[in-house]
Amino acid sequence: MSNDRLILAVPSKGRLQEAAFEMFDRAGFAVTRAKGGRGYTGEIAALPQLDVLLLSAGEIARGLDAGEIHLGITGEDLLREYAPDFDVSIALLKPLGFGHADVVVAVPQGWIDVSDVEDLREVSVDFFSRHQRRMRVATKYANITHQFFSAHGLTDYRIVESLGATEGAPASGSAELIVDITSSGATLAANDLKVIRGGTMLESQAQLAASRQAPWGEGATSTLTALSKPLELGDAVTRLRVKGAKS
Amino acid sequence: MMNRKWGRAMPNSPIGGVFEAAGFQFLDTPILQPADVFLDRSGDAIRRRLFMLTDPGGAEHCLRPELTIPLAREVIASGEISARIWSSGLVFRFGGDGRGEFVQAGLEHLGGAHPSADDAEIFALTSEACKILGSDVPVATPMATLGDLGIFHGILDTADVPDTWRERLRRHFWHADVFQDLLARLKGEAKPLDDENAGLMASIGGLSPEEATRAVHDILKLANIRPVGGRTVEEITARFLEKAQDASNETLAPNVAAAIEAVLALKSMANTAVDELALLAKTHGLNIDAALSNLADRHESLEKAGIDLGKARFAASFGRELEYYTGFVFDLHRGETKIAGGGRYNGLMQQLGASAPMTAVGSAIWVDRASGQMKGAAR
Repeated sequence: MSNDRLILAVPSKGRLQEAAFEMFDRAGFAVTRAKGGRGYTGEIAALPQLDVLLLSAGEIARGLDAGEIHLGITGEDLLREYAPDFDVSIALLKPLGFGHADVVVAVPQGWIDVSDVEDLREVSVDFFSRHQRRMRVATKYANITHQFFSAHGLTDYRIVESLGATEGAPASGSAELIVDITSSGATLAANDLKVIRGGTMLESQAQLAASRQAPWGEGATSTLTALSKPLELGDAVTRLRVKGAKS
Repeated sequence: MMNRKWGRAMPNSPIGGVFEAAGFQFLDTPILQPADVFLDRSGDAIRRRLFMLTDPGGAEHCLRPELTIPLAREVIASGEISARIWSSGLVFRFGGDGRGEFVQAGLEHLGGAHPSADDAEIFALTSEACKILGSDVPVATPMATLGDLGIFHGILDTADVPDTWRERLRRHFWHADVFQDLLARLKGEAKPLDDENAGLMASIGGLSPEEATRAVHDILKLANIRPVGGRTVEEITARFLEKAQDASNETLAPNVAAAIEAVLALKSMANTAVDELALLAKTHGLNIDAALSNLADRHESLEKAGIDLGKARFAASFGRELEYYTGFVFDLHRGETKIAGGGRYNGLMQQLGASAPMTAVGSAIWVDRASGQMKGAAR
């Protein structure tokens, strides 16, 4: 509130970070990390009114949803998962062409009777009436799953939170099927799983996203304008304000 | 331990007097409940709004989202084979508007032997309680909608469709859009198998269910696919054969689909419902006399209990969003606001662990809304 600086969050490690830094470099906005490259804050010399934070991809999605950061680079899958009221809190400014991963629903290969979402819906009801419990879906994408399933009339399931090695859940007996990201499908096959037809919930990639909930004062807004042309964001300020924005 | 809870009067309750005078005893239930039973038994609308907690040992609990299941569990644990009970207290549902707790009152008659009279008694007491709670509200008398899931089951019991379809329609009744798709399939042409399935069908078509199951076992073994994920090879094979059988039928049963649609679409005033249903059944060549006679008995009992059926609505498809109901269903509205609802749920007691079948009919009253203290249409 008191200072009107723009906070930009960039992934703190891995491939996503490298690609993000490269992109800013190319646009003439080299990011300098504090403490000789080891710190989790940084700055861009050309933009003195901007602070860089290095956070995990999940924290960036949460921070954008909460309005604690103005701009962030993170996966669209995480943005849609952590921002239940997506259009109200987030504006996607630019797909970045890296970090590709699809969020898919995958069932055991042995389910020869299931080839599409309609089959899965019937099986969910059969499963409940045969076993007197609902089929379990292991995932870290509970919100995306709820939205996709209810759009397809699928209600007889329950989510089992899974924070790692989700593909192993059906084999270990903790779930019947999974919703997870996949880039090649090889891990799914190795775990006796297959993606069903129409089962791609989201084709995700890294996005430069803005928070509609963050305090966009004059200073932050003009910093965004200064970023727009070199980063090829189009009229970012208008897009930030219009679609689904709260009055 | 049981005695502490059974029979304790609820202090200062304006409706408790009505229930106790009718011989219903107050029974308190724990607010903290095991999560599993609600996750597996409640409809989607409740499941997604549960407040869940994990204890230090990792077990999952929830704050009770309603009173019926907690009351039923208490009675099952007590070993009683019948009970007339009521309860009142906070229930918890996440609403998105920051408000998560509501006062609900519940009335249950378990193990009763007179379906029509028992249904009518619960309806009349619930209605009376709502009137008392709403005495300060300008329009005190709520509007009732009645329904009967027995009509739908009656159609299926006697309709001329393959048994696999009978069961499938029954299982999917609770999901209006899935059910609609099924009726469309029943009316029209079957969906052909895709290539992958057609190949498989060529190798197991014509086998008995046992032989087919063995064949699928072998196929999976050859392909080095482990059977994972909680469904047995038997049930997968059974559904596969069902799917294949549908695909091989040219057209199914358009007349039955049309009859089901026509009956479920019926909306009328409650006092003419039996006659209108009888006429529809005759037009479509359905024999649902047994179900209609149950409905007529209940409506007679309701009139005996002083309910004016000329002022209540009847809707044949009403109740399909409330998965555990099996017969009578009703709700009470004041304007747009639902203030009470209930019905018969004969299957639930055994699903919750009762050792023998046990009849059950009950209701839930949204006390805040019934007394005009809270607006809105939270379900």
